[in-house]
Amino acid sequence: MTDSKYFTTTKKGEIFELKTELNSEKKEKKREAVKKVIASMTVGKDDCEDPNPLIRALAVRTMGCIRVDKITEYLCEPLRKCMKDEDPYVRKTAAICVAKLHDINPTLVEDQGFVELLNDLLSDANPMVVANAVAAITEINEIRPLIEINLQTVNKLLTALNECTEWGQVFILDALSNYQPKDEREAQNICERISPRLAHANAAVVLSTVKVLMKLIHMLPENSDFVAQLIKKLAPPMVTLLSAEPEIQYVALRNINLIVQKRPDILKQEMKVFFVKYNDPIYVKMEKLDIMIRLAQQSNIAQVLSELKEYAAEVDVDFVRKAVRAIGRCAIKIEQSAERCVTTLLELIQTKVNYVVQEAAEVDVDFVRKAVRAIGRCAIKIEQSAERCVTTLLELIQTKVNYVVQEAVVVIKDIFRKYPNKYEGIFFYSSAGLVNGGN
Amino acid sequence: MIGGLFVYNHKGEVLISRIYRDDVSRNSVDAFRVNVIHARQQVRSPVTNMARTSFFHIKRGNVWMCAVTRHNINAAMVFEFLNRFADTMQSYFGKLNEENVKNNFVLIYELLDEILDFGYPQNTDPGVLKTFITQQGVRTASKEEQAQITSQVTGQIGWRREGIKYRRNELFLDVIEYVNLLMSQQGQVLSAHVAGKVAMKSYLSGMPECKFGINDKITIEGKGRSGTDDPAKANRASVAIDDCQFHQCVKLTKFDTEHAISFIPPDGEYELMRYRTTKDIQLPFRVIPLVREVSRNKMEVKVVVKSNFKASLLAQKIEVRIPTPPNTSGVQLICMKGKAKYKAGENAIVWKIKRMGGMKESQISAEIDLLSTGAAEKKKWNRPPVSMNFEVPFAPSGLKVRYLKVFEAKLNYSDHDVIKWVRYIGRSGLYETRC
Repeated sequence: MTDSKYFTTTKKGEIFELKTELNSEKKEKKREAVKKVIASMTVGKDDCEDPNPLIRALAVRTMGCIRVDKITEYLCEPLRKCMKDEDPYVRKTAAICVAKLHDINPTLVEDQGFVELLNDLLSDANPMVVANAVAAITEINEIRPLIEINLQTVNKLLTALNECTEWGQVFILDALSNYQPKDEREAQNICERISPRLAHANAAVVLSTVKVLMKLIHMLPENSDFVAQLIKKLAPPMVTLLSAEPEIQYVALRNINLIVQKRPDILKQEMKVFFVKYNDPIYVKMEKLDIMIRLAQQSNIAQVLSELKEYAAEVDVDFVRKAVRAIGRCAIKIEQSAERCVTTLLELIQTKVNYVVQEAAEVDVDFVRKAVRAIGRCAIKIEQSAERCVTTLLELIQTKVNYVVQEAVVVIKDIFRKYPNKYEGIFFYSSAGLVNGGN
Repeated sequence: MIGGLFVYNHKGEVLISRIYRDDVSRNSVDAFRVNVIHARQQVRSPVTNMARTSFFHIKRGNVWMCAVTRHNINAAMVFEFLNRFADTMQSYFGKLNEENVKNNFVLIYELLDEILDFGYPQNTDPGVLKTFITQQGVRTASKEEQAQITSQVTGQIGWRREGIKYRRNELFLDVIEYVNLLMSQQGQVLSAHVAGKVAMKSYLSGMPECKFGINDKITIEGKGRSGTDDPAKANRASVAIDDCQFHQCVKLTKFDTEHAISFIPPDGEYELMRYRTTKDIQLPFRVIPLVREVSRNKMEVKVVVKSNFKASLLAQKIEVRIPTPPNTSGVQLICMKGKAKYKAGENAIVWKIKRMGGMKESQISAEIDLLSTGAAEKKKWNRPPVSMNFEVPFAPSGLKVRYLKVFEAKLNYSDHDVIKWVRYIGRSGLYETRC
């Protein structure tokens, strides 16, 4: 087989040359190139009938790489034969070749009846053939819906699901997500048949299963036992994904973010899992923080706030700012906890500003600005906290640090606009302070 | 469907480049290099989008692997594929570094031909691939072998070939757990979980069917009270698994219905299952840190380590890492057991104890001298947590293997003839205590 390896590599190099030659202007070159192609085509066609199935498959795969229009017509016969080959390895390669052909010349695929042949492969005995056929069909359907996925197809796919390799399972599940079941019973049946996939080691299989389940849950009655059980099954696999490689964690977190927005009940008990670890990469930290805010509720706000306080002491500037903003968001989201949130914010700003004043040390200027603005927002939205905020803001003005005073004054102005009668006195005081301070 | 796959070295030079689709051009190779590898900022995301093209990358060792597409592709599949591809390459030629990639580029291109057809992942199992793609070139196979290879690559049992024979049928089971802990300054457990895996080495003849049983709560409760009416006892004897995932050889539908783990094992080494527990974890160590800032130039740190398991067992390879501020000038250390060293390059005190028995206590005190930098330059030091590494000979989750039965109907050996070995290894994952 070393020969065919050589065969493959030269063909690839040659193909590129042939392509340029065929498309060249000079007639002489074109004629030579066409002769060369016909010669290699004959060899290629013969290879499609080689007794060794590995060579037949290699031939099919390589022919699909020839992306020269004039030649593709000659591919049809050998491809048709290979789709009915006795060896499943050849058939699975042929299935993908149909997709390649469709990419080059979609009308050819439709006219020559490959669509029907591909559909037939969905009933193939070998699960990998089915999976590759599904992948090809899904891609073809994206350009033009030529093959309809109906209930019988779905049942065949579900049977093949158990026996495919992991990648085949991903293709099948992704195809299932495009299928709209007729009624509740169908939806429930599909859910039951795919939920074992949640225990697969491959994260893509798990996430694709979750995607299909989320779509189907829509169709089922809200308060049924079945839905409740299904939801209980969904949380643990997603949490397990957070122990995978950081890139997989990132993809999982982005998906969880969407899921939590749609159905917060799925992960509402799992706040701890989203606590940021010191060594997480920055992209994982940012996503976890987002989800923490979405999952925050009265029962866990104390925990969340103490975590956010720790995060505000981290090194990455973007992350710290996000953490500070998060405290403000929590205050507004969960009104009963507003007092606590505001306290945390005020403590933070005090520490940071003290640091600036006493230690004359470097502090993230933007952080201070954001924190002050967050205090302002809290004061405006949550009346009970306004007074404490104003007191702190006045203290900040006293520090006489330029940018701190600037921010504080702007915020106090807004507060005054919101509560004009309450804080008149304070407003005069602060302007007096400004004048005296000579700022 | 992946449009192109590129492998770069740490300098950004292209080592491998394979394009599967017309819509991915050679410019993408350069785009990735300029915008990600040579970007000034550190990596902000494993996915980069430029001009309607998505670049997914992972970094292994000093090699960057990047998959490119212009379609709306399944992101998890791309990353799983990249990881699997890296694993396959490592299985063929060892460490994934620039030198090995360059020495084996022919093999890599062949692998890419086989495992990614038109951008669709095919069978990536290294055991199967090795039967027909080898480092000496793609080898010739006889007619029977050919049929076997194709049926294995596409077949239901794509992970084991027929006709395996061993004189001694042996099974080695390793239950390897990583216990992760995040403890607050006040000693409260903020989060703890055990991530475990069961790794098997099976040297069995034929196509045996195996059944694996553990003391998992659901199975025990399902069979009804097993004799004892004491709920506390039953609790201790079983482990509540939150979630588990299996190698593709395990019959998932059977697990879903009967909660039985039944499979035909691959030959050799593989990972049977992964699981996670969060309840009733036996935390092998308790770390109690005490940090005192004596003055601007001095800090005192005391860390007590208590071992919390049976006195007859021994923990090994214990290492405690105490982070120090970046402006540390010197450290004085006192510890009765083990050896402690201040590593300036890592900004940490590393305390190593070779062995420690259960129900014991050890302590280290450190006096840290700080450089007083000028008033203009001093960033507040956010104290990273104290972390610990160790290895203990038991499973912190409480998991126990109850049975592992082997049935081979056709050959003449029974379950009793198989020699089985089980061992439990508990390791630290991220074991951190805030201070």
